[in-house]
Amino acid sequence: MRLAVLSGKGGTGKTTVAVNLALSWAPYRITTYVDYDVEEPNGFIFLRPQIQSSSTVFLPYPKINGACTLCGKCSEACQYHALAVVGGQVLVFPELCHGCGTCGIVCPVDAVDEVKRSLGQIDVGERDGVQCLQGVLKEGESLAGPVIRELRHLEKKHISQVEEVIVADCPPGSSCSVIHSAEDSDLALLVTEPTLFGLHDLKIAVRLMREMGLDFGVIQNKDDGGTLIREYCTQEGITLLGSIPFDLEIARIYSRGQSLMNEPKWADLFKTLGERIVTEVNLRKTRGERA
Amino acid sequence: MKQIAIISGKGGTGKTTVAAAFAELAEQMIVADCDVEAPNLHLVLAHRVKTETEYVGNQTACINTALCTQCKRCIEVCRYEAVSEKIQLGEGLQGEKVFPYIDSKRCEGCAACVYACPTQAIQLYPEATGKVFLSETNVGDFAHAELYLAADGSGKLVAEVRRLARDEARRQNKAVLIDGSPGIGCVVISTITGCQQVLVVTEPSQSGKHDLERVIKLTGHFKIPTQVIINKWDINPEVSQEIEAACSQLGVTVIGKIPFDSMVPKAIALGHPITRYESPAAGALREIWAKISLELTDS
Amino acid sequence: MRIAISTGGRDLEKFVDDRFGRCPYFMFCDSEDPMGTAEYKDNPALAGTGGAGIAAAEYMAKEKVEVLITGSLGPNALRVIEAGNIPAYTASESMTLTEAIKAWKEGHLLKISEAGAAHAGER
Repeated sequence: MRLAVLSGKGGTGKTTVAVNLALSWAPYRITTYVDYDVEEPNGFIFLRPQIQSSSTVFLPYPKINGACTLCGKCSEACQYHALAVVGGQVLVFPELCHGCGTCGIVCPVDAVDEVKRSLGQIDVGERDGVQCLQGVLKEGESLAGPVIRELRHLEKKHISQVEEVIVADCPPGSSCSVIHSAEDSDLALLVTEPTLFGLHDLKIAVRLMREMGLDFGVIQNKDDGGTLIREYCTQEGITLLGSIPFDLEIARIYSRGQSLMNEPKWADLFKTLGERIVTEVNLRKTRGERA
Repeated sequence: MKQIAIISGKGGTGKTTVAAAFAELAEQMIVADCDVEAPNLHLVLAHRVKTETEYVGNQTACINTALCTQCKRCIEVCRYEAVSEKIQLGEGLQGEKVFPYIDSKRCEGCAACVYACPTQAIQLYPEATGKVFLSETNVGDFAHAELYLAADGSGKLVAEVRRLARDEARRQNKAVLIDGSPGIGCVVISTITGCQQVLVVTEPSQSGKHDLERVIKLTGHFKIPTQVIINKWDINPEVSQEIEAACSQLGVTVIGKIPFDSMVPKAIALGHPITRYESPAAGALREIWAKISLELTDS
Repeated sequence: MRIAISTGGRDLEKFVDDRFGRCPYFMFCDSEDPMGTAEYKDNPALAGTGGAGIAAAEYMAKEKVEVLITGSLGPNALRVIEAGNIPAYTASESMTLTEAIKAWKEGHLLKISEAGAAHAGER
């Protein structure tokens, strides 16, 4: 069972939901938490896993060898202008290179070698039975895509059993990074908050889910008892999977970088939410099989 | 012409609340919402759209199956896993054919397949990224955008919003105030490059602090002067202090702190900047703006 | 000498555009006879996906430009311009093309040796 935790708006509580759900499932199921918010990964702050291994994510870029005849085909073909042929030399701009390999394809004399530079890293660890994976983009690098792709490959290699639970903590926004982290999930959990901003961005996330054809439900965080999100969900026929109340104690525990599992009250809340989600996934599966 | 960007690293720390307040306090600046994936500033800035243009900033490869010989060279060269095989049923359920198919959501428009294809069956086609708006408000012109659903190239759409704001600012001899997005990648880099000043809005939590440190490394990488605002600082004064210590170690000034204020969500719900009201957060924002605007006129 | 200037309009009385990679047009002319030789070309780098400064700088080399007048150059564009041995000078946006050429001839324009702000991220 793969669950994608996402929200259009940042800071609505994706990581709180993802981390605490993972921790509450761990005693009963093989659980893996994967942080796909590679620009600002926060899950490990709360999970504090014992790191077992780290690997570097590389991106190839061209290095021109002596066979070059300065024909200029590489620079013409490069869509990112990462190469320029000028003054009897080929200048390479690695930070603009997307590592697509087109320059090597068009070079008629095999003058393009590939070297690689580091874009970030992937860490693997374990905490209280939760397998923890995260991708980290290096500061100053712009391409989150390759880190997310590599992380997805690693996730697939990691997962062997069907009954296993994977919780994917996705980046905010509505870009391709969100799509690549969320696709092929059994259910997307859209975390929102009852503000005008929260609702506006939830609508964007809902449209994205519908476009992707992904099953989804909503989790309301910082629930103030108001009707803003409830009414929207009713209107749109969206399942409201659960609510986490607005509570200063939660805010304080969060601000210290701790999980909510140590407080029985909140541990119970996440256990119930977790059960509800499993039921929902199974329900949709049988419904899907019948249809 | 001066450009100031407000970013945060972590999402939901209050960028837009701060940006709306500054837009109102500055009165006459060109305001740009560069959080194109989840734009919110238009919800609290009463505006009227003056111009609306579609921005075409992407390219996607497309295969002409009539020319395709199914050599699969495109599948081999694509490094974004965008090309896969798709079964196309022939007429009368016979002659089932397998064609390479390009997933436009994965295609980065790099043209590797275009050049690799031996029969020139693949071409790049322009793809619309989103809509760009120039609106008027009672505090100056406002550039914003709407990214098309699942479209690639939010970084380029940001660049387009900034171009619009910059052109307007140049014409009207004004400064530009940018509301940015969370993160540190492509979109944020596109938001801050060329800015004279970056304001980072953070919150007193370990996540906020962790993400702030990454954002400061980013602005350091691009050598942009950076100042920090701690929002809701009194939610956890100890962590606020940790953040101040971390900032001073990184050589970055904390230009102000905003207290937790229940008036903030109320103002948002009413669709107004918080500075319309007399409240603790509004007071803090006025003080911070006074410091910033002083520097603004200095240069 | 073959001069190129980044500009927003197709006329010698139009102004210098201080953006290099993202200016709408380039004016090319012979410094001895701007009136008689001025030609205007669309900036080909505008169409690109990113790295506009690099593409525009490479275009200068292809056009065999001997002197470039613009606002400022980003670090990448500067690297290409320097590799192409093209001296670049900075002119203000309040100058018309005619005024900029005159100012350069009289030695009033400053040579660009340091990169201005980068405008990366348009990728």
